[in-house]
Amino acid sequence: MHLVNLNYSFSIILFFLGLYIVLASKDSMKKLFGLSLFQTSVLWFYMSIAKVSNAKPAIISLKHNWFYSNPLPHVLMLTAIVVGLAITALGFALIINKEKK
Amino acid sequence: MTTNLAIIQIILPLIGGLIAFITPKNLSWLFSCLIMLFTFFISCFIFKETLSSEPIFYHFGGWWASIGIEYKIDQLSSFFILLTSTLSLFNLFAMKHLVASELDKERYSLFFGLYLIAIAGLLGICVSNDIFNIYVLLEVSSITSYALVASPRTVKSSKAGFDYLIFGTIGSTFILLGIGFIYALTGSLNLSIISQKITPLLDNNACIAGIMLIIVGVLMKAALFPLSKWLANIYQDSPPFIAAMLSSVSNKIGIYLLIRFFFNVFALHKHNYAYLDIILLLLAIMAIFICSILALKQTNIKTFLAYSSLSQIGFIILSIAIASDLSLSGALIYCLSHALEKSALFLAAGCFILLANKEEDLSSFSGFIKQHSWISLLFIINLLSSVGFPFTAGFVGKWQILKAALATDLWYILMMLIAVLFTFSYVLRFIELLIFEKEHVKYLDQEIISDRYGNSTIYVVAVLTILNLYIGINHDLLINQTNNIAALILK
Repeated sequence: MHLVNLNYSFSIILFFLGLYIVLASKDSMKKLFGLSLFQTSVLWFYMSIAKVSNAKPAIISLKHNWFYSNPLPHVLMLTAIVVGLAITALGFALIINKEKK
Repeated sequence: MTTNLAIIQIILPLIGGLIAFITPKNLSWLFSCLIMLFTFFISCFIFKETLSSEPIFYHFGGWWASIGIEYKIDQLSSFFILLTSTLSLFNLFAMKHLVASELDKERYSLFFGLYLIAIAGLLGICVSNDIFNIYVLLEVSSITSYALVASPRTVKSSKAGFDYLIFGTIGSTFILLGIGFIYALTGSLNLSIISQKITPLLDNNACIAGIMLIIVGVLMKAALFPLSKWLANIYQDSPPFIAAMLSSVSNKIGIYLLIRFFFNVFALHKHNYAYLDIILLLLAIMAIFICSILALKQTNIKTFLAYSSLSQIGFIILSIAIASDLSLSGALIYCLSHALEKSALFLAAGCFILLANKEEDLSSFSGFIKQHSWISLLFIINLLSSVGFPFTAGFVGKWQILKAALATDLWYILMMLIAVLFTFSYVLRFIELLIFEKEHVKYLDQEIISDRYGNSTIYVVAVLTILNLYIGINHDLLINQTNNIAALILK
């Protein structure tokens, strides 16, 4: 099996693992962890899309003229990471309010 | 000038929301009203512009569409922009006094700031022509709505906010993964370019996976029944004005995305794609019947309205699944009437709950009309509109869908008529309770409530009801316009 395919399979496994944790666990903290895992699997998927085989990272050099991987999915995932962070932070705040007696 | 209005429309509430965070708490409502009023005028202007001429384009930083982010306002977008900004403006007016019953005065500026940012996100989704930008704006509006649901900071509302966060995030992560598939296949994020490139790829397995992920995510946002059973509990525990915003505006954006992706981007109606239309049809019919039965069983006024809202969403999805000119125009009219009546109903329910001393049980409203006739009358008119009583906006939408069903298959008509009967049953039960049953609770006087909380909510409910009736009687212009939009989309 090609290495890239392995990457895709792993991200899909993570995806369903995260979804299962979110839906099956009763504890709010565990739910939130599952949600983070769930979102991270999508980051992994985008990273796998961006990979071009036998290519270098997307840093353009004037000396060399080489293939580079697609930088756009990385940029998109920067935004998705921020969104994930905001959701996790809000989730923690809501858990604190919710468990307060 | 008009090109720039496309972006000012989103920037204004976004920046306004950030400024509202630091305004003094007495001024924050007035400030956000001003911002919303400007946004409303701009959206009226944009609606007028797109009515006759070509779509408006805006390119960020001057980059052309294949590289940069593009905003595009066509007639469908401008219809939903107008709907969103009008209803959120009315909602904001109604909040003036209702907010005091749920929130500390200290949190007003935070609350109104979040509200403006949520509206900015929703408006942005309507105009954006870039699929990833749509995802980001969807998250902007969703994250702020999670916080808004939890804004009273009680244990119950925080629980509702947390549930909403979990399920909302699952929905938008599905959309994100789907976008990944589509991007990998087409190499573009621009909706127009995707729609050109995707047609030969539609049989590809990865393409099917991507489209299904996006459709499922969008259906979760649009609150179609089996994907949104949790929503009823969220409506129950969130403040009534937020429930009004969620059911009238946020759901409509889900519907907008469904129409946009289903017809415009992927053009699935042309291909009889993976039995998607039949699946949608079955889900919609299930939503109508099961939610009607559940509404009949509810004892809480807010969950009652929530289930009635979910069954109405079923009607909208049904007409999208039929996928003809008439049915699509019916779906648009239905969106409008549903937004008007659900907004009014949830706001009126907020008044009801205050008048009944914060009792939310349905049985505590028996004989309510004898003491508070005006607000009950407005409530009943809106309930009748949700059944599709003649001379209300609900009738216009249902009639249009029924005409579409007549043109396709006899089965649909039978389904529709039974479905209308089902909705009628739960509405009738509540009306009977309001009018004919003996009152056994002493309600608070209107004066006490208006001293403490003011009258703005009742005025807004009245205005929404009058709009509803006006559309019900004078609907030729609206039907013309929605027919145009439907013809443009299905072209």
